[in-house]
Amino acid sequence: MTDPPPYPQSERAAVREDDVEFVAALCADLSAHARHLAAVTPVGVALASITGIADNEPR
Amino acid sequence: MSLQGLPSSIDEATRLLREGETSAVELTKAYLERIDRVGPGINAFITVAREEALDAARAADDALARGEELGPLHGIPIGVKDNIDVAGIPTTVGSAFLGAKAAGSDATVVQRLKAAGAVIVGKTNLHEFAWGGTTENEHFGATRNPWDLSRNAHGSSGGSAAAVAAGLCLGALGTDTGGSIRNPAAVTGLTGLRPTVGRASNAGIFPVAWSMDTVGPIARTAAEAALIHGIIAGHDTADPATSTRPVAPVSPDAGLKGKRIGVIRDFALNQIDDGVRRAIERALQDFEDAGALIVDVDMPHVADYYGAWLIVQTAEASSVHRRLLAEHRDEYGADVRGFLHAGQQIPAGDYLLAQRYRSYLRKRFVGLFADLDAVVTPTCATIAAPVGADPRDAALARTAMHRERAVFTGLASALAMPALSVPCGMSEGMPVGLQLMGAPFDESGILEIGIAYQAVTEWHRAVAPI
Repeated sequence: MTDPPPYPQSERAAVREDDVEFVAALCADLSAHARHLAAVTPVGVALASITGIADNEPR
Repeated sequence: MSLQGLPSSIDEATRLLREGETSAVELTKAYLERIDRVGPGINAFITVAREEALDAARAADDALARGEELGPLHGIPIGVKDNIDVAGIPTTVGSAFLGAKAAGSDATVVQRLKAAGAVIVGKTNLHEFAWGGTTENEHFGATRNPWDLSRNAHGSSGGSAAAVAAGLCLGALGTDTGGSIRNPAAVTGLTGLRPTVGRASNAGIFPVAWSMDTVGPIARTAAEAALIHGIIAGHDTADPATSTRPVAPVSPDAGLKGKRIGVIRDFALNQIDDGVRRAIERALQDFEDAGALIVDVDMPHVADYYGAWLIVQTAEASSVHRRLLAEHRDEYGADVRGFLHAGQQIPAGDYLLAQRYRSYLRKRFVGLFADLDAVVTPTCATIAAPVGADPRDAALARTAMHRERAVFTGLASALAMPALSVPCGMSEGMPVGLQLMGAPFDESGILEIGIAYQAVTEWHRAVAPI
């Protein structure tokens, strides 16, 4: 017996095999943007000054 | 300035029409003939609205003959980006699977253009779904830059800009979410206005990212852009996001004396091509020579807007396309499909963080404009790009652009503020654009500065050698 996937999957919504690398790179970039953004918002800057986290470093 | 016997400006065409030296039908036929002759090499149009344009021109001539009061664009040939509905013509949005049937009604901005007498000559090419910066459309082909056919016209309103620059119409509508009016205008030597979000109606326009989407003019001069903007702008009951505040008139004689123009030098002059830098520095000198005051502005972390812009645009567009992507996944171009998949992975918290950062930065800029009339940057860090880049490489470069080359147009988008691009020089034989950002709803302020700048410079008079 095979376990069902952890959440409903749809073939129609799946990333195409030949897109996987490209989408992964985009996602990595967006994640980096979000982390960087968190570090430069007023709260993020205050936290960085306390914790020593540099602006460009992922948190 | 003359394009092989065609009027050089909306003003000239209007004078010829009203003095009876030409008719709207003759003028429309002349532009349709040029579209037939020059158009295929540019690929600016997805649909040429030949019969509809001639019908509108006949109606314009009849109105003139009856002595009716004429609109400010009476008989003027105008192009419309193909994500904006024009009744009776398919709206493809540059996609392979939309546009099977004609739009049932006009977008509000098109209604207003037609009411002003405009003759819509066609629907212009765009980056697929108006989401990309090259107008190298996988389904309708690349739009070529009239200044150098080996280069593209940037995007996403590349077809609108190329059509005006090649003399295929006298003005055009584009849409702008992150720079899609201003970038194409800049690299084709034209003037393009992105209005404040909520200034012009988006009813009847296919969305990209609703919190930043705008519609505006691409024309040869700031005065012409002001004319078209004044016609299409204003509240619309069909778009509840439009503002009810009146559209301020534009004074053509406001001049530059005493204007305070800000520049964030470590942002605006950082990591740009040498030719672009020289053009911008000369423009700053021109402003000073004409009596404006250049004010150095300090704005730490301003370049970080880019992450917020990209996250918001990607998340909102992915939401817009959720059903379409599920049903037509394989019919999307590779770059747009990838962005949409990536957008589906953005956590809600990241989207909200990006929106909060936009609000924070907007508040700082609103404060800045209490003391400034405009903030200037280059429109693009480079001249027009060569045609033929891999769309996925171009898309990845776009996400990383803020780290390598400051990208300027997205700032006004993220702030939901207006911005105008005006020609300010040439580099390697290609046009360079200057961006003037203004306070929210101060389109008239930046248009007046653009008009005054063009009164003391000649860059807007240059015509593509085609």
